[in-house]
Amino acid sequence: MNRVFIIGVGLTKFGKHEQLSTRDLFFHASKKAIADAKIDINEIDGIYFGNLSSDRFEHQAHTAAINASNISFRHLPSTRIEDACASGGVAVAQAYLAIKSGLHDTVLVAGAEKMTNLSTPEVTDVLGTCADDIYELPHGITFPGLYALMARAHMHKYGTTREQMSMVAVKNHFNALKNPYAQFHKEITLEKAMNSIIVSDPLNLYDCSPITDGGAAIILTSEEKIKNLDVSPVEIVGVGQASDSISLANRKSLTSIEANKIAAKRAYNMAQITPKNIDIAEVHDCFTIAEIINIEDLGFFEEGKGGKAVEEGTTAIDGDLPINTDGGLKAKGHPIGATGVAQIIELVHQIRGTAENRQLNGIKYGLAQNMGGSGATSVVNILKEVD
Amino acid sequence: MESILNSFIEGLKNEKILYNRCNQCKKNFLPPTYHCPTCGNDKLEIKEAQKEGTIETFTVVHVAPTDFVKEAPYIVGIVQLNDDLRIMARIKSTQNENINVGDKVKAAFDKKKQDASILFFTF
Repeated sequence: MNRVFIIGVGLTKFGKHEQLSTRDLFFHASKKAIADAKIDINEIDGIYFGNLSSDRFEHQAHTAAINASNISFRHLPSTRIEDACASGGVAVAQAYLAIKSGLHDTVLVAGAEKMTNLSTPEVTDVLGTCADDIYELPHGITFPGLYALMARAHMHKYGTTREQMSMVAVKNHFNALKNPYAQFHKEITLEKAMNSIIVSDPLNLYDCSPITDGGAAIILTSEEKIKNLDVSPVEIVGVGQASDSISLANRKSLTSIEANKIAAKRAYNMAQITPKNIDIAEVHDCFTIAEIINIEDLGFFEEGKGGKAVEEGTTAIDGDLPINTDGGLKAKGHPIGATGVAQIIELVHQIRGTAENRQLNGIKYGLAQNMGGSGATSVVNILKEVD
Repeated sequence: MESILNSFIEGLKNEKILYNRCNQCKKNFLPPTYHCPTCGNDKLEIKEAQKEGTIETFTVVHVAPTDFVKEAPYIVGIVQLNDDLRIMARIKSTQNENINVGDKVKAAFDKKKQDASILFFTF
């Protein structure tokens, strides 16, 4: 079977881009990834594009075809993937499949979202479409609200504290200081994080990832093709994905996310490793409580011990298991469709040694976990240094 | 063909919280669906839940979607009913009760509504 490698990465700055649309964000991130891979655009034979809702944000659907015609004249097959906030990570998994199957040799995977042109209540409405329209939205629930429900349950069951959640925000803001592509370059204190305005009790403003415009792109290719290239490839060795009821109340647990556990198990099995092998992870910290739950679900810490791990500095950039070294969704920003692709980009940088002033030593295995909605989709991709 | 949604919403209109019981693994679940989420069996009974339960978790929504901005802040909770059933709904109170996980609440029905928000809980 084909092995699949990442040979190039490209990001736009994350933040507010008043003059740019989804098609611009896609184009600029993709051009950078192609240049980084040192290949010609004509080497690419397919495109996968993660995007939640250009339809609602910009009144423009069919963006995969727009993107393809903007970057190539060769009528490339181009497919948009929508799996809520996991769209980017699932696009990576689909591109992996396309190469693994032999259908394509070299694929461009990108994700982009343009969000800041709408007001906060309007963005809340668009994101709300990822929750259950029949059983959840009629009650006026929001995504901060759904994660607040999980946060209170986690606090009640395990004694997780507000301080520990705020510590996730403090850590991720600190990490983002060294990421030039991050939306925020602002160190925050624990006191400031804890005393920000309430969004959905017990979550406050600093527990929530921001509204962001941004694009991310990577180039995947087959084992055969990397032989002739002048790049440091990183291998994708594990891909796992799982789904669950999108309605939070109807899931097995309110304090863990079953789809995470199943997706992780599938990815670990494919890679033939255990959580102990992972040197660094990018996890989906759309809300601070999500980072705590995710690091438990992925098998890094026992259930209920995630908050303590953050408090003890285990997940800090100089800790035993650095989590979200690029600032995570919280401080790097969360342009929905781009997020899962951007997570992979940080892992590639750390593994191949191009993470600049946030570079860690001895990173062999990196894991990216990207999640949709309140956890009804989870996708885990495991990357490995090429020996 | 029939919709799996109608029975639940119609039930609420008649002040009933309807759920499914799997006649194979005997698990109960909400909302009604096409097959048992535990064992996959599609032979399901429709049953009526008790109209009281306990608050398993709740949030006070301050930043609301556009249609709900005027109502904020408001409380949305997940209530544990009998037989391992959980349901999301608003928790409304006339006074400013100090709400806690584990508090007992009872179901109420707002007949002016047409969707799942017919159901809410009070003290």
